[in-house]
Parts: sequence; C-alpha cells; structure tokens
Amino acid sequence: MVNTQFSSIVTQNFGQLPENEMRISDLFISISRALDMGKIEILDHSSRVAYISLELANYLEFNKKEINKLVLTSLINNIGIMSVEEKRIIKNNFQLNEKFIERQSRNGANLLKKINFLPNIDNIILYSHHKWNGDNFDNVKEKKIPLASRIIFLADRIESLISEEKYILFQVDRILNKIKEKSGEWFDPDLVKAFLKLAKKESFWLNLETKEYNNILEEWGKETQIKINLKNLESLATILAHLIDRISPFTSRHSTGVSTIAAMLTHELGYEELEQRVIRIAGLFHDLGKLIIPAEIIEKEAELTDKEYKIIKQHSYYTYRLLKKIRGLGSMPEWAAFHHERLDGSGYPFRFSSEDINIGSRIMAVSDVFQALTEDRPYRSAFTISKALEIMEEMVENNKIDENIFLTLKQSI
Amino acid sequence: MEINKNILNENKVIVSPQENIDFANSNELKEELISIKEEGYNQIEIDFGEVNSIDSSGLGKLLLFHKRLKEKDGELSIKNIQSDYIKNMFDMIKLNKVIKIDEK
Repeated sequence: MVNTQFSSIVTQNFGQLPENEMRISDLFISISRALDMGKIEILDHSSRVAYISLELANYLEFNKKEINKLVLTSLINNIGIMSVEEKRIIKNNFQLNEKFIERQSRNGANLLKKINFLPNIDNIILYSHHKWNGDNFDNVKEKKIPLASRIIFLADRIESLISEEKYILFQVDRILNKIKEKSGEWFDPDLVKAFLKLAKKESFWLNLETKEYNNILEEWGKETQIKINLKNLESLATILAHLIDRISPFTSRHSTGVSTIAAMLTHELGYEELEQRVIRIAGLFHDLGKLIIPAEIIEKEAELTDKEYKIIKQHSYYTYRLLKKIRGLGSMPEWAAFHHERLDGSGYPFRFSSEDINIGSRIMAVSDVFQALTEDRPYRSAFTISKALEIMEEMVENNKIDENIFLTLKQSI
Repeated sequence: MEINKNILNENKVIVSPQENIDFANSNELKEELISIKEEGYNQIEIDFGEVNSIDSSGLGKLLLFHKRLKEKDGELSIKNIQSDYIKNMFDMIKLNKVIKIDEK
C-alpha cells in the first residue's frame, strides 16, 4: 500500500543538491556518448578514438597527467561537428573534405576556448585533424602540431577504417597498409612506428571488437583525479547548451530561456542562491539528449509523423541517462530530464506522476512549456504571452503542471 | 527604487535604474517597464551604469519583459554595463544572444 503521508513529503521535496566536486572523466565520457549517438544507432566513434589514444599513450609511456589530458580531449575531440549526418561521415570515411575539417576543428576549438580548468584543450582540438606534411588550412606542420593532436588524428583515422560488418582481426592487414601508406604524409612517422608495434597485440583490436573499451575508459576514469566544481560545471553546461541550441534556428535560444526562467522561478519560490544556480545549470542541460535528434526532424515544417515523434521522444530519456552517469550531481539528472513528465502520469519517458516529480523538475516543466510556447516553431509561429498562459492554465486544470509554480510565473510576467 | 527616465523620441525611452537589481526591487522595475510600454513606447533601453549586480529574479523578469515587448514589434536593449560580474553573467547564460547588449 502506498503511504500517502510519505509521498506527500516526497512531493514537497525540492530534490538533492549536487556535491561540491564532480569527476571530470564522468562528465567527458557522458559528453562523448552524446556526441557518439546517431539517430537511433550508437556510432561510438569518440569513445573508441579515446581508447585508441589511451593505448598509444600507454605504449609511448606518457606520464599520467599527459595521458589524462589526451584522453579527455579525445573524448570530446569532435565537439565541433554539427549534425548526425556529419557524425556518420567522420566515422565512415578515411579521407575527409578539407573545408569540413577546417570548420569542425575551428568550431570545436572556439567552443572550448573558455574552459580555463583545462588549459590549451582548444589548441589540441584545433590541430587534431592536421596532416604531418603541412597540407592544412594554416600550413602548420610536423612537430609544430601538438603531440596530443597528432595522436588523436592517428587514432581518429584508425577508427574510421574499422568496419563493423567484418570480424576485426580479418581487417588488421588492410588497416595497417592504409596507415603505413599515409606515414609521413598525414601521420607522424614515429607515431606510425609505435602504432605498428602496438597493433601486433590481438588484444588491442579485440578490446574494440568486444566493446571492452568502455570498461577500460571507465577504469581510466576512476584513476583520474581531476575534479571539477560547480563553476566549472556551469561553464561546460553553457557550452553544451550552445551546442544543443544551434541544432536549429528555431530553438537557438531555448536552453538559455528555460534556464533563466527556471532560475527566476526558483528564486521567487523562496529558494536560496545555491538552488537557483543548480536549477540554472540543470536548465542548460535539459535538452542534452537533443544532440542525438537529427536536425531535419527538429526543423520539419509539416506535422511530425508518428515515427518522427517517437524519435524525438528519446531526447529526455537520454538527457537522464547521460547525466545519471556523472556521479555527485544530486537530483540534477531528474531536474533536467523530467521536463516532459506530467503530474497526472501522462508525460514521457518514465510516465511518472506527481508523487515522483520533485519541485525542481516541476519548475523545469513549467519553464520549458512556457518557453516553447512563446517561441516560433517551423510549423507555427510563437503564441502570445497571454495565449501561452491560457494554454498553461488549462494544463494546470488538467493536472499536468504544478499550479503554484504556474501562478508564480504568471505573477512574474 | 529610483529609476531615471529619458524620453528620446515617440518610440524610444532610456531607463536608468539607480541601484542594483534584486528581489526587493525587480518587481518595481518590471511595473515601471510595463507602464512605459503601455504609454506606447516600444524601444526601451536600460542603462546599467549604476547597476553593479542583478540576481536570478531580475534576469528572469528582463527576459519576460523582452518577450512582451517583442509582441509589440519592439525591442529591449541594455547598454553601458560597467560591472564585469554582470557582463560574465549575461555571457554565461547567453542572455546576450536574446537581449541586445550595446557594447559602447
């Protein structure tokens, strides 16, 4: 039997605050997973590149600090990629278009410029598709290219040569030949030599075949002691929000709007600055799972088909799963990901009802609905504020969203 | 809250709050902005020269007012930000992509 007294206490709960520090490896592994997902398939390019970089660095006897920086950068190396289609291109083609590479490298470097707790990461990313012989957009060549960038480039191109259709050990000769062919032209010859030795180990390849690389990265993560605080988390959340919002011009300010409104509501409801701040961060993260939705669905002018709607519905599920992997976030995964849950149990993807939806998540739902209604969509223009409030009032009457939080919003306008 | 008002022309007004924007006065600022809008002005610029901090409540209300003004084909902009704290704040949440910030 449900203890109603207990559930009402639970519903009054704001949610649990994050800890002061989080592991950066957890966060970067989550970002790489977001970058690695296609429309419905898992491409796993970044995590495999990170694994290959890690093996190369171990083989070259890098020190721990260098290894950590290299692996962290490899995980998010392709952050400058704009679309699901481009994710496929970079995974499946050995030879890449120059313009595409330049744009994605510059994009990635620009996005990460402000990460002051990992100095120089933007530089490594800028050069991480640079050819050894200097045939690059800025002619930087050979040892002028940072070593970490040279390793990531090699690892990235090795990964693109592996086909999932065929048993991996049947592919090794072909892959080695391709890499050897480009030694001194694309790749640092010393690194190619090291790789050829490493490649003799069947285990190197079988770890890729069996997806063991996930566990290896996980193990590496446990040993990395680099921690980040809330401030660092906030600056990363901003970068990701930027990435999410740029998927479509229609949603280009959505995350900003949701997080600003949500923080304001948290304030007006009487919570302290810390609560306001963590809700703002959760707001920046709320559509993280949208990184896996193809832009053509988000931008579609006509009404969505049943299939397309089913694809969109994954996004808040992935927001939850990706954030849940980061230890120490408290209730942030719930605040961010439950914005499509409804108090009467009719929302998605968990179909929770009021007793399972805490105050932070309710604030996010109200903010998301309001922001979405007052934004243009490809298939309709923005509703006026009064029309949006009317629609939301009906949602309150139908027990979809929280009445008190809705009234607080109404008073703030 | 002391707010100076400078009418530039039949559309445009510059509003200068004389103190920091926080929970205690953000409603007052909001009411003032709404009444200016109701007088028919749709270009409203807020001068941040005397504002050294703004809290979540103030930021949210500016965003909501921006939405209101947009409905009247108007624009809310902010100028003369002195405080680095506020500049970083706008940049951090990318509110500078939503509300026009005049860098002059």
